[in-house]
This record gives sequence, C-alpha cells and structure tokens, in this order.
Amino acid sequence: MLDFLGTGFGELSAGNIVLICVGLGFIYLAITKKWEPYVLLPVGVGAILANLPGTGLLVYPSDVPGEPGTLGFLGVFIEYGLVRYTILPILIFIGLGAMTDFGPLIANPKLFLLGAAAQVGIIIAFLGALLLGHLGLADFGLKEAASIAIIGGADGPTTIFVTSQLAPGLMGVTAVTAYSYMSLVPLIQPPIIRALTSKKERQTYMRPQVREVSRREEILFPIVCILLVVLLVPRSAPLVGMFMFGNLLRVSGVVDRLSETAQDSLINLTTIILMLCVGARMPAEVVLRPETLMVLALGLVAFAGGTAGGVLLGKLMRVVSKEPFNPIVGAAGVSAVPMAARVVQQVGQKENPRNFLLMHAMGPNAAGVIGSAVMAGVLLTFLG
Amino acid sequence: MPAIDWGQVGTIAGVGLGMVAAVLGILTAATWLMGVVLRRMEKRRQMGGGKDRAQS
Repeated sequence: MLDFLGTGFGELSAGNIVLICVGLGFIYLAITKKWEPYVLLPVGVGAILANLPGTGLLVYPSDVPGEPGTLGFLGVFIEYGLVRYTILPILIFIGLGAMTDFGPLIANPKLFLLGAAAQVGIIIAFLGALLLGHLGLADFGLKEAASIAIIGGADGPTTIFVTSQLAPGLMGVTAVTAYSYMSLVPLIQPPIIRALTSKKERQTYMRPQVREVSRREEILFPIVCILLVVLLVPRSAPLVGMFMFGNLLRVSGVVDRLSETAQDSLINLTTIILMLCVGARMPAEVVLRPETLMVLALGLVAFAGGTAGGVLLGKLMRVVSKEPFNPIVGAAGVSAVPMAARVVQQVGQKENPRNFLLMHAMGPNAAGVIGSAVMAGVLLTFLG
Repeated sequence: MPAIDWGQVGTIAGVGLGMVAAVLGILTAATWLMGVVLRRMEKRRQMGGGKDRAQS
C-alpha cells in the first residue's frame, strides 16, 4: 500500500531485515563494547544503507528497462575507489607507513623471518578454501580462495586490496572477517601460543632492544625496501611502495606536515569512506549464504595457521640463536598491528614479570605487514 | 565453477610462500648489511674527527 507513496517497505526482503539487524549489531558492538569502533561503526551504517531498498546510494535504477543505472554516492567510491582502481586501501597504506616505527626491525633484522613464517596461514586457508570448492561444499575457485586466504595476512587494507581485484563480491564478508579476527587476536592467539610452547620457553628472558638505530638507517630502510621488494614482486608496489613512502614522510624529518596529515587526516578520511563502502558491499543476497560461514571458518584457520607458523619458527630461532630468544615473539608475525605485539607482551609478562617483549614483537609485527603485502602481490601476479 | 588445476594450486602455494621467504630473507640480509656499513662509516668519521682535532 505504501509503495504508492514511493516508500521502500514493499521491496524490503527478510534478508534485508537480517542484514539491517547485523548492521545495528555492529554499531552496538562499536559503541558499547568499543570493539574495533573505527571499523564497525561505518561498516554497520554501510550495511544498513546497502540493505534499505530504493536509496540509489549504490545505483540509481535506469528509466530504460535493461539499461544499467547510474552510480550513486557509495557506488562511485566502490567502483572507482575499489573495484576498478583500488585507490582507497592504497591510501590507507600511506597512513599506516607514517604510523609505523621500523626501529626494532632495523635493530634486529632476523625478526623479518618471523613475518615470513606467519604467512603460512594464508597458504593453509588457500588450500582449505579450494578443498571446500573441490568437494562441492562451496562455490570457491582460485580467485575466491586467494581472497579468503589473504584474511590470514591479518591486515584489513591488504584483504580489501586483493579481494576487490580478485573477487569483488566477497569484499564485504572478507573485510569484516579480517577486522573481526584482528580484534579477536587476544582471544585467538594465547591458546595457540600455549599449545605450541613449554612454560620454560615462554619464560625466556630477552634483553631489551639491542642497539640504537641511527636516523640515516631509518631513512635508508624504506628506500631499500621499495627498491628490493618492488623489483622482486612488482605487483606488491601499490601496497609496499605507499607503505614505505608513508614511513619516509615520518622518518625524513623534513615534511612534518605531510607526515602528520598521513597519520591523521588522510587515514581518517579514507577509513570513513572505505569502511562505508565495505559495509555497502554486504547486500543480503551476497552475505546470507552458507559460504559466509565458511569464510569465517577459513579466516580463523588462516589466523591460527599464521600464529602457529610464527611461533614454530620462533622455536627454531631459539635453538640456533646465541642470545636467549623467546619463541612467542613469532606470534606477532601475523601483523594485526599493534594488537598481536601487545598479546605477545601480555603472555610473556604473565609468564615472567621481568620480560618486556613489546619492542621485540614490534619487529615481526611490522615484517608481517610487508610479508602479507608481498603475498598479496604474488597472488595478484598469478590470478589478477 | 571450472575444475581446479591442482598443479597451478601447487605452484601458487609453493612460489607464494617461497617468494615471501626469499624477499624477507633478502631484506634481512640487506638491512643487516646496511646497519654494518653505516655504523662502520660513522665510527670512521668519528675517529677521523678525533684525529683532526688531535692534529690541530
């Protein structure tokens, strides 16, 4: 009856109502539980808006039957900022670079290796997703599997960057899964760390940061990274290049205004638009499928696999290292900056109150960001 | 959904993990080398400065 007035009630499906409730749930969690509020608040609003019919926020329907409609406000950002040119996650990487301190990694470069080991989770989830597709349990091909697996990189913008190019339909689900598990790192990682290490290993005391890092080293590091990584994996250039560019703004000491803008205004503005778009990529017909539950399960497998890979290499480094080495530091290699490093600090200090592992864990944490960006570049090289 | 080419899957998984390990391994070596060279240069510069002061 209300259709006559041009209202959306007539077109509202049961699926839309479920997703609107999910959006409201995200807003509730963001405000009352302070659960990833910078992500879940805009994602929740985006999901609500995407599931309200007839808004034209994504596409204005064409007057001519059969012709595509015109892009709406969010549709323009999704089409040009994500699906076609993938600008938004790359801009986030400039801000992340400007916020990252590579000092602990430069002081102790072998921590890079832990960032590599933690990418094992991506491969495990990739194979798991393909197996589900092979068994006919899900509609996952190579591109979908890669988009789900990259959740294991524990890096929201990297997940969005890969998914928007390989499987744009999955972007809302994979992004929300990645950010949700990143906020659940304090619950996911400690049991895995405890299962894979002995009490004696967890109590291992590590000396505070081994040496001071000079300004010259800090400046050369991002330049060396750009040259080496981009030459080796050119498709990682948008992420690694902008990450290191952002870091160079920070450490150069000559462009403070640009550095502050990247750390503050740029990342905040981009986060608002990006997260609204992620929420808007959660229409009922895409999300309310059994595959969504499988993405959630595979994301968890990827996180757990990455944590296990880092800790196991940490155990190996403990054996070969001359200095005492606490293997739980490896768990920070999954990136999830700085949450994973904080978890390592908490677990380490609980076992041995003398231990202060935060700075040691920040090394593999930063290496994990580079590692997942490289893995993203490799996946795009093969499948993009 | 087309059939999965498991050979390609193996290549992606193997090359993917191998490439990440290789890139981060190279970065480990490059960062270490950069640190050694810069610290040595700094030391030499300081020693040179000390000698100059002694001569003057």
